[in-house]
Amino acid sequence: MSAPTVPAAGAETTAPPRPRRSALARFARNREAVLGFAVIAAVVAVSVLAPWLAPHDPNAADAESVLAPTGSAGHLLGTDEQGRDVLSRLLYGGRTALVVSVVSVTAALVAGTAVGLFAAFAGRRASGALMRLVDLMFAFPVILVALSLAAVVRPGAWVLAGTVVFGAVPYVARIVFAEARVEREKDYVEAARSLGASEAAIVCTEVLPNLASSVVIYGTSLVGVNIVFTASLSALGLGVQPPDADWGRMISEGAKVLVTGSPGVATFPALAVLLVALAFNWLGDGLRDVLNP
Amino acid sequence: MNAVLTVQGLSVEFALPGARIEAVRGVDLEIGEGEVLALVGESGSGKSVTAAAILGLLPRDARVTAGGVRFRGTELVGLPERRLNAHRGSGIGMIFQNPVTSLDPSFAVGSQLGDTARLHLGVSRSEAARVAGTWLERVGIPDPDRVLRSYPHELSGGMRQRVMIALAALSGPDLLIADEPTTALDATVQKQILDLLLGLSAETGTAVLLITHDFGVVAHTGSRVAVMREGEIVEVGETRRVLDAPSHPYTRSLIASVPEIGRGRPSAARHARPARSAGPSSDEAILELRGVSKEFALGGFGTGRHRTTVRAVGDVSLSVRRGETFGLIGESGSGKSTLARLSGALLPPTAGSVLFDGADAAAADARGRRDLRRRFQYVFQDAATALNPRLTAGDQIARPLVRLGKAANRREAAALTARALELVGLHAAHADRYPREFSGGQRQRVSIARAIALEPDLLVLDEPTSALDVSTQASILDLLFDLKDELGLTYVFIGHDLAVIESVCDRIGVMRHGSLVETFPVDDLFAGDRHPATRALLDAVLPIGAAHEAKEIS
Amino acid sequence: MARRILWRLVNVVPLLFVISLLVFFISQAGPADPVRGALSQKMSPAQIEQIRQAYGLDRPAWAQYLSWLKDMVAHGGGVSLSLRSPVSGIVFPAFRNTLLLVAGATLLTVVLGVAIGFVAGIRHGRLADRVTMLLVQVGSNLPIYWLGLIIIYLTAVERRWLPAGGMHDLRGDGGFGDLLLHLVAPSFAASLVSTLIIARFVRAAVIESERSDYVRTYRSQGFGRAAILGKHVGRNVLPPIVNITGLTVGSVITGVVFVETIFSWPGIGSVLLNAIAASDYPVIQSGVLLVAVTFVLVNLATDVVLDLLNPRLRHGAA
Repeated sequence: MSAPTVPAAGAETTAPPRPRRSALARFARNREAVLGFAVIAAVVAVSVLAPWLAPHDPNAADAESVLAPTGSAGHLLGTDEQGRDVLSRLLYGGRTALVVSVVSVTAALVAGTAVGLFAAFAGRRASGALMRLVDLMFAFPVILVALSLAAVVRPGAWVLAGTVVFGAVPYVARIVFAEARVEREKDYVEAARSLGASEAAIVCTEVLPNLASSVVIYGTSLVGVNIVFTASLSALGLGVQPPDADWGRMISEGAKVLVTGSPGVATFPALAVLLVALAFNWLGDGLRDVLNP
Repeated sequence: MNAVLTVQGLSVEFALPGARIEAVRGVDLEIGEGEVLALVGESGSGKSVTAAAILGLLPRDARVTAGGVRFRGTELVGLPERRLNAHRGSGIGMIFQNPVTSLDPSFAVGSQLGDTARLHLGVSRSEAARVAGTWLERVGIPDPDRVLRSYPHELSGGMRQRVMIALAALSGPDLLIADEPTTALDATVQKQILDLLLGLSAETGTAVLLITHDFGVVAHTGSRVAVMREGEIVEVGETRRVLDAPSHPYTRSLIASVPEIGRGRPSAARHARPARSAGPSSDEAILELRGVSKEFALGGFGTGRHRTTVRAVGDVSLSVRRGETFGLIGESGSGKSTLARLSGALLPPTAGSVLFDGADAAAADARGRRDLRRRFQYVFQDAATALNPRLTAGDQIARPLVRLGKAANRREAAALTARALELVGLHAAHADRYPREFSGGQRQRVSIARAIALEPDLLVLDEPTSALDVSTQASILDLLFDLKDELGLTYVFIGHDLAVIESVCDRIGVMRHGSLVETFPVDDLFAGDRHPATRALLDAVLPIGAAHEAKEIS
Repeated sequence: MARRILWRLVNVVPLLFVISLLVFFISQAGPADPVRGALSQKMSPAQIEQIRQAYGLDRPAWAQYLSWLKDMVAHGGGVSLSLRSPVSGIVFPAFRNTLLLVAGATLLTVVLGVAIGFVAGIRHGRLADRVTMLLVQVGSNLPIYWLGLIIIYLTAVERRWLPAGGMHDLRGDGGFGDLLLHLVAPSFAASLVSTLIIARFVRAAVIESERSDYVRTYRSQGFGRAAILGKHVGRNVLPPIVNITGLTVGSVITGVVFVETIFSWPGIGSVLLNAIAASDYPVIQSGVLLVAVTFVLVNLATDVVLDLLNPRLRHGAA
């Protein structure tokens, strides 16, 4: 044990600041985050490059080789009921789901954050009315939104997008509202006010930076959730329409042959969905550790 | 001495991600039968960890790495949970710091006391209820029947701590461990609770291990004291001897840092008492409150509750002179912080007016208000929350400079920021640090730098040292004094610790239930005609010096 | 207390009003003319106009809304455009079947979710916790459609334990036991995502409660872990569990609609999907409204139960 030394009054102030590790370095050390990021980057790259990578036209039916088993020559992952190459369809099948999920969740994050922040700083009545509206959206089972939208605009990518936004906005708004209410009561908000900041400046430059990491973390895992969700909607026939390749549709199209000896047709897209969703979850969890040390 | 509890060479280690921290290193303690031992130390000294280790209540990431704890001849360290439970409660009772969170919010007090009585005394349900009632009376609760049916949230902090004491003492343990039992309470309640604890100990012959950071509490209670620092015991001895003639330099510097009532500034300060009024105090009022009241509305439309108003501040008139340090003291809930916010036009008053330098703050136009904001600055109690955790220290100082027109551009603001940081004893390079990268004392310095960078006239200090250790408190008080002289500031100093207020202020205002009951020059504090509220605060002070024997005051 | 519950009841009214408005506008905003969609044969404009009048489609929107609402409340909607029979006869039996499945799935969700969450929470950081939570993560990210297929394959094809789909065995007597047997697999599939939400939530609540100061108080008093878990942890995690259960009923309903087609369950999901394909707006509106209103009532019940569980409300605020 070292000999006790008496801290002189004010000694704490003399230490010069030490260099610190950047957020990027912390990210690189976080295995979960890196793994999630790598998987997502790979899937995005494959989806973008699908026209060059795919061995076959995803919609070309080959009557010669219907339901070829996994590993057959020319069809690495086999073919489906109509003789379409499963691997090629798999490479194309993530495009709509990824774009719809990322874009819709981003839109929902922006809208939900705006609503939550506004409600947190608005007067009691405005905030009460707004949050009741949010609760109303919260109360509406999302599948009903999908069904109603499908009745209005016909099944397709817009139904997926609308449903994801509608489902995600109230979640984001509630989280932002709850966190902003906590932040609002902290002294730094009052300190900013005493230092002449306007309410708008307080919300945008003081409080928002404190919520940003939560929103990003939450948004990342929301993308994962919605990849799975949109796949289910498409499987139900509310999303991507045939003949376009889509993981969700491939699952429902492969359903008929799953029990009759061709499990791969439905299982490969299901595994793709699982992998991508897990990757977003890992990235979200990893970001939580990186952004909230 | 016949020891109830012997702690020998106790070491506790925390396994945190990426680091192992030895929080307790080879601690030896011995508590005799019926003895009161005070364990004193600053935050992070390992005193609470030691207490938790005795009862095997360490958090999951901590473990005892060496040493042992013998209670009545039984080794407690390494004992399985089931065997340990035979000693918990019945042999050693524990009282925790925060009575608000330490009682289960979902059960009535009577049910919680009754469960304990049934477990340890093996009595029937109805007998347990009777025991609970008698114990509530013993801990000085006037209407035990009502309290038995109450839920914790319906009781005041002091009442809850009495219930905690009843809960711990009911099973007749040989030893009570009290971990900062009065830290969360007001000064006047603190003394009552301490005396209750000591009374119980004397009555039943129960030994007490009292953990505290407050030397006043040590002086008031312990027959012996152990001083802890960075996980080690640096000094043990008879309380009077340690307080009057500390042998370890750390103890000496700690005690010297404690402001003592009636003695002026603590010795760590470079200013002798006369220096206090050296500032150019004049008769000119820089801040004047005229009949100011503030009411808050609770409940009402949309909440499903009846609308009620609570009067936080009622009809306060007050004037603060340029160059003086005006102290505002009162218990929690007395309205002192609300009054400070009213004075700074952070809250609009319900009635009355606030004059700053002769001009009504409410009547000021946008430009006038901006000027007022600059000239009137705040330092909040807890810099950990008063600084925005996501902005660098430099940003937080520089932004208001530009906003309030003190600096024309970012470059100028950066220069002023560097100067302000150096003025408060930090380095200009600290500007790009985030608040979490500073220690508690450094954070409060950043907070002060942010305020003085604007070159204000008046600084409202809202309990600026309450969240800090005593040694840090002394250095921050020193800094404030230096700045006042250097920059010609006027201070409104809000506090709950009369000794601190007395040591730094020229005049004192006492608040109670939202009213300012009296104001007087600091030298008249001990005058005979002081208001009962002031006298209650004086009586609650626990002095450490030999000149004021604890008994004399109480 | 009574005031608060009354306030909650009052709050439900505007909520129901807005939902009914939105549902009403499904047919207004739809791209397909309901009449034209329903009657594909060639008709003269006069004939079409006649039918429009018969359905009341020529009146102003608010009048249509009022009569529509009256119709909905009085007898569950008008006449199906595609099936030419009263909507109530189509929607109500299907909704009853769906409710059955929702009830089964909710029961499984709560029982399994709380059990898994509690076990993982008290074994926090141990192997049991890690394995469980990994399964939870994987399970909640599986596409439900595929999972349903796998369940059918494992329980009905590979081993003949359970029926492959439907509500009743066609050759059997259609008794209650038979129904239960048919309920097991779809309930499980529909409950999975919600189960995992609850499990995660309960685990976090248990961990938090075990770290709380009051649990430390009871540990210091010598109470055994089982007693503390049963009484203090249990009581304090109950309100959040009720809360999250109320909120997951929505996701259970979603799960049920996903599952109905896989297990050929004759519920509201299949009815709605068919109605969408046929642009049969009366059926869509009636079905959506029915589910939405049920959901709102479930949430109302949850809130009231939470109020009753809160000692702060029962005994007046401090």
